[in-house]
Amino acid sequence: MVINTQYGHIEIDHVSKYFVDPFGNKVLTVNDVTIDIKPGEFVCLMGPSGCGKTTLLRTIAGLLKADEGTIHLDNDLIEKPGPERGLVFQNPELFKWMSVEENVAFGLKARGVYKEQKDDVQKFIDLVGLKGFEKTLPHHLSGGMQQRAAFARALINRPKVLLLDEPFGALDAFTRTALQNRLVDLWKRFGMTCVMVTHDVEEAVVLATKIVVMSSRPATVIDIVENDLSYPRDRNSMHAIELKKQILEQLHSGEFSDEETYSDGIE
Amino acid sequence: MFNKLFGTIALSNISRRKQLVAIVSICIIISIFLFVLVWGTLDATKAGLKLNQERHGADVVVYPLESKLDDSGILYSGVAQSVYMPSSILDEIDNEYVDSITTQYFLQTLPGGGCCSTELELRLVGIDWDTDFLVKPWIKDKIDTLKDGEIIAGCNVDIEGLVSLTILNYPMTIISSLEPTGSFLDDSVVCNIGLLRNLAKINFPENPDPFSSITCAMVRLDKNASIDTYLDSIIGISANVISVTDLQIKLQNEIGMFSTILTLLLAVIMILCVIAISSQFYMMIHMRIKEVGYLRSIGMTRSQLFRMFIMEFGLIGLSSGFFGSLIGMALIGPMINWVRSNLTMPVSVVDIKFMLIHLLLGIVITLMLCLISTIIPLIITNRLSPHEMITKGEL
Repeated sequence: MVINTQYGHIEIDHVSKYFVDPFGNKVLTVNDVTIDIKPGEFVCLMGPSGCGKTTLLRTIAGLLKADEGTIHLDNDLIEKPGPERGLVFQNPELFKWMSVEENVAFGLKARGVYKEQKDDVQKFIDLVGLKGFEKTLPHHLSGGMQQRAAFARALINRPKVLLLDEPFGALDAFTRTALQNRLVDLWKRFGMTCVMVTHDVEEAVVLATKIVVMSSRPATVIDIVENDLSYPRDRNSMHAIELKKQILEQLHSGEFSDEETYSDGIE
Repeated sequence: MFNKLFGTIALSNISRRKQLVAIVSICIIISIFLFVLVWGTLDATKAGLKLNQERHGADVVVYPLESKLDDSGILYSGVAQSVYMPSSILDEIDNEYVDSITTQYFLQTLPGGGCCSTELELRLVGIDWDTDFLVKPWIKDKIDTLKDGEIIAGCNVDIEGLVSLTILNYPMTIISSLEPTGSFLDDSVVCNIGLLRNLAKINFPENPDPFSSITCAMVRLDKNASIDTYLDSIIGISANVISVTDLQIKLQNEIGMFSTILTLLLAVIMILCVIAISSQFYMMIHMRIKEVGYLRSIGMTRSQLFRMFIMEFGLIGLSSGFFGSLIGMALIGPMINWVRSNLTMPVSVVDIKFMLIHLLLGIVITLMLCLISTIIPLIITNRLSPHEMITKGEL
């Protein structure tokens, strides 16, 4: 297993993020979050739907700007998107008019290094198990295959950090499991820091070395759970089940308050 | 980053959205074609008038009462008339205000063939070389005199490869040609008035005595003489009289008015074009909002995005504008001929330089149109954050 201790150190320091609702009111989405993500760690951001974990992820990606606090990557302040932070979304977001090969090569062409690194295109296509589908257009691929192409496209740039926003959310259980295993393989091979948003506890337990449990909106950190289970992980092992239970309890404790649940009078 | 990709992305986006691109292209082609055609014709007309003002040596033109053409027709028209007035009219028009008078004798428009060694249609005009100030400024070569048997061809008379002609069975040598005048001279062959009168006597005996007839008299006034005073002094003569200056001013005003109206019309067309193109460009961007969001998310900056779209829309605009300019240019010639024939206005001849200038002008206008049309859609799009873009639209 490749252990990376050199790059991909993310320091999230007292970050808060507001959005303005249609009525002009400021809505706090992320509230004073501080997380220290070490190089090479696989971190899952867990929390109820709509809590703000995706907002936090996109702030790390540079797609959003923190209203308070700072985020540093290897001591560099994050203010805008960059190729050192690869992104994989829930929907693969492949370019529909480009083949798998062209989609994967896009990042190299964008950086102007295609000529020097064009051999990597086939390597990464093989790495994600899409050999033979190089010339195929995305709409001829299954959801899982498209997501694999999206991984290849993100990884070919050899990012320091891989940011994943519920990448398996749209897939069936079997495909999800297969891709989870593949993701772990890729992470072990390249050693980049991974930050993944998920609301699947089992997924977090199977993948992450660190699980950040977040409350419902506005997102705050309830707990940071270290997961030192060795890979490959058995999701049905005692340790895994206990960890799942621990996290679920913490999630429930940080879930909707009584006032929110019953504000409309429904019991 | 991305610098080498702009062209590829722009071209692939153009090829993917053929329908929208076609609509935009048609708008641009029509607008630019109209612009080049109208502006080119106006320019040619203004240039023709200006050239005529500079070189039309006469202040006053006197021509027969029986002439069926209006004043501007006599000055600028390509239609000549075998209508004559007696030479004695010169006595009536020559007075203390006159600097010099020159006369012309128009014989015929010969159809070519039997009478002549050429199939060319020849419009024969005789001038008095010693007194002439109308034709001389337009002669290309330096000539000291115009002898019997020598001819000067107007710019529209095709004498390519010819050195001599036989006209009415008389051998003539081509000694020079005229620069474009924008008048009937462009279609004429000029020779010595004495020779032409002789030929008229022999070949057209039914005409009034050519030695005592003229087609028109061009009067150049003394520098200090007022045209109005002179015109008053020759009131009552048995001929038509026109003030060249007054006519040119009148035409200038007419052209100016036309110019203003057409310019306003063109401006409206351009504004409509900008609105149409702008909305199409907006749609083309909006349909790709998620793609744009993805590009932003992998590090493309706003200015790079702007450049990418400018390149894309510039490619569309440039090709369409070029095509529209070519069509406009191709039709300028026929349009100018129509103006000359039907509106009796002086027009300059359209040469390669003129064409190129208007082709370039069309392209410049196209680029400006595209730039203006791009600004608003890009401003609207640029206001969105990458986060918002990714959550909107389709990839």
